[in-house]
Amino acid sequence: MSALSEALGEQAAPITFSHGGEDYAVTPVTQLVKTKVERWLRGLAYADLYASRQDMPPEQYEHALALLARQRSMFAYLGPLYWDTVATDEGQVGLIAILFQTTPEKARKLREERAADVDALVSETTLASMPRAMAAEMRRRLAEARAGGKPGAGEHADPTPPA
Amino acid sequence: MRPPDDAEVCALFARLTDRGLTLEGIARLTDRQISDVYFCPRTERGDPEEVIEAEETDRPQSKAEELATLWALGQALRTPEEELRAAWQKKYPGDAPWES
Repeated sequence: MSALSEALGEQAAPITFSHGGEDYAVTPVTQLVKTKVERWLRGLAYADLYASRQDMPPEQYEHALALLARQRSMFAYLGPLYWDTVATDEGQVGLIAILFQTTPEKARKLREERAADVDALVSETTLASMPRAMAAEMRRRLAEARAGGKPGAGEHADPTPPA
Repeated sequence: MRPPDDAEVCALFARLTDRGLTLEGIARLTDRQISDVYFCPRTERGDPEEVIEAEETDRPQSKAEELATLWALGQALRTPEEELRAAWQKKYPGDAPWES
């Protein structure tokens, strides 16, 4: 990608991914996309809590709700909850849906039918949207993980969001 | 590099709006665009330095930047601090900037 295209980002040449007769516009991780990811993570956390409300006393549920409302930073893009979420199948589907700007159903189908391509595109889009130094460090860790060495990245062997 | 907290995001956006961007414009930028273009290194006169990197790895990092990157990334990936310190000291034996 030229420096011009990179600097202009989505205003230059959006990446189009075609599958099953449909074109998907894969978005770079802009500030707006980051907020979409954070809203999605927040929604998942509230849904989890709501689903478990029957198993806890009302006051504990209220307390957990209040705690969730205060812990806004836990939903941050590339924060701990992000990595925990994208390490799951449903998390991967959710991330693909956001980056490919499509529905979860279509994202799931993409993941099932074009796993390697989608994985590569999600990783590359994520890395290309990061500041260079951080992306270079991520790539280094990814290479280490793929080489079979200890990645040194806690429980996340693969530092890039899998798809 | 690490996920910024609310105050840091507000400060960043304030600096960008000081440079003439609208919130709508900022929303369409990636972190890399912000880092590369709006926080491009400046000369003492305030002019942007003419440094263009073709690849991520081309930009030499200062030791302080390297440490900040390691720590930010470590925090994002929840790597234990001991592990980060060990990685740093493996590369720079005897150097322990966190002690100062």
